[in-house]
Amino acid sequence: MASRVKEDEKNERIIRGLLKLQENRRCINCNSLGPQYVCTNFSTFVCTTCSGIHREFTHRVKSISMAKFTPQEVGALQEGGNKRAREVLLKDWDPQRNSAPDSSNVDRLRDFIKHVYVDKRYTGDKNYGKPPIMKTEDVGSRSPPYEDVYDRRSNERSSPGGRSDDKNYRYGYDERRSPGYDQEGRHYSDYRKSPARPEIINDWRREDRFGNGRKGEDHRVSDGDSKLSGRSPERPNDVGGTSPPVVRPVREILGDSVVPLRISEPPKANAVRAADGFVATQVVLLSVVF
Amino acid sequence: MGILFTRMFSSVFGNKEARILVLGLDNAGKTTILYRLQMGEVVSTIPTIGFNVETVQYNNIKFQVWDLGGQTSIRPYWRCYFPNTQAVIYVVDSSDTDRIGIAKEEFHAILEEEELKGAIVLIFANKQDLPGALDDAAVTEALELHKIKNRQWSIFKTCAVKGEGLYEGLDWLSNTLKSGGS
Repeated sequence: MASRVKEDEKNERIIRGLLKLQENRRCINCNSLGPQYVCTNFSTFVCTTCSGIHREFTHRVKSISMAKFTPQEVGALQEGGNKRAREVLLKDWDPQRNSAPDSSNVDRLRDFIKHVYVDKRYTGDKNYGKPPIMKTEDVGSRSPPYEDVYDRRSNERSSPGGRSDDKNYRYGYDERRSPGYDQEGRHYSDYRKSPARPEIINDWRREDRFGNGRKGEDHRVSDGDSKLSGRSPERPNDVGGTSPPVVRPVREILGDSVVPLRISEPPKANAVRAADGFVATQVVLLSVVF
Repeated sequence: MGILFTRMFSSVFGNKEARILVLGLDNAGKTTILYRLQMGEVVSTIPTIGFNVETVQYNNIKFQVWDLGGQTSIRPYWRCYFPNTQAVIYVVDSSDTDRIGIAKEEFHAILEEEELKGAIVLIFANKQDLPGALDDAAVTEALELHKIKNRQWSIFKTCAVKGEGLYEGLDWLSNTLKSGGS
C-alpha cells in the first residue's frame, strides 16, 4: 500500500514536471493557460473545456490533480506531450491558412478536435477518412476548416436526407444515412429542434414523467431472457402482475454506428464547479512550486 | 384544514423521497445520466470533480440524485455520502472492456460498506450505442452480479445520450422502493 502511494506521488511529480515544459503549459487545442487534464488517447495536456469535448468523442481524459496515472500512461506522456502530438497530428496544419480556435467558441473547438483527432486531417496522410460529402474540395486548396463545416451544416438543414421516414429511422439507421453522414451527424446542436424526429423528441423530453404515453415505444418490448438474467434471484415477480421493463439493445434498433448527441451548453452547476476546480488546482500548483 | 388534507394525502399516496447515489468509474456517463433524467437533455459534461446533485420527480417519488465524481483520487470520498442512501445506481461504461475489472472491484467494495447494507442496487450498462459494448448479460458476468447476496438488484442496458433504458431503470427503482425493498 505504501509503495503504491509512493508510486502515485512519483507519477504526479513527473506529470507536474511535464506541465512546466513550454509546450505543455497551454492546452494543445485552444491554447488556454494551465491545462488540468490529460487526454490519455493522445497523451496531450488539455484544458477543462477541451476535456469535455474530447469525452464527447469517447476519448478518455483524466484530471491531473484528481486521477491516478499508471506507469504506462506516465511513460506515454513523457514520450508524447503536446509537442510530439503536434508534430504528428498537426503536421499539415498551416497557421497561415488555418486559424486555431480559442476556448470561447465551443462549437469551433468541437469541429477542430474532430478534424484533428477523429478525421486526422492534418497528419500528412492524404488518405485520411474523408467523408464523401467533402469530395468536391481539394485538400491542397482548402478554405479554413470551420467554413467547410458551416457550409455542410447548412446543407444538412436544407436537405434532411430522408430523416423524416419513421420506419427507416427505427430499423435501418445505417441505410438511411448518407455515406458521409456518420461524421457530420456529430453536429447536433440543433438536433433536438429537427421537426423530422418527433418521436425522439417526445421520448427525450419526457415532460410526462409519470408513465403515461410511453406504452407504445418499441424498445419496451420485453424479452423474457434478459429479464431473468438481470434480476436479483430473491426478487419476487412484480406486484400487480405487470411485466418489468426490459430494454432492447440500442444497436438492434438503431444500427451499429450511432453517434452520440450533444448540446453545447454545460449545466450551470458544472460551470461553477469548474471554476472551483481551477482555483483548487492553482493552489496545488503553488504548493508544488514552493 | 385544506393544507392538512393535502399533507395527509401526499404522505399516503405520493411524494415519497429517496436518496440515490450515482457511482461508477470516471467517464462512465454518470453526469450525463443525471442531467438526462433531470432536464431530459444531453449536456456537454466535463469530468466531475466533487459532485452534482439534482432532484428528479418520477412515479410519485422525489429522487434526490447525487452524482459523485469518479476520478480515481476522489473515489475514496464516495463513502462520505453513503449514510441514509436508499439506492445506488452503478454506471458502467459497457464499451470500456479494459477497465471492466476495475469497475467490478469498485462495485463489490461498495457492496461491502456497512452503511449501504440496506440500499438496493441498480446497474446501468451504459454506452450501448458504442461499438463493442458489452450487453447486459456480459456486464452481469463481468461484474459478477450473481455473487450479490441479500440485496435487490437489477441491471438495464442504457444509452444516456439517447435516453434509452434510464426510465425503465427508474421504474424498477420506484417499484422496488415502494414495495419496501430498502
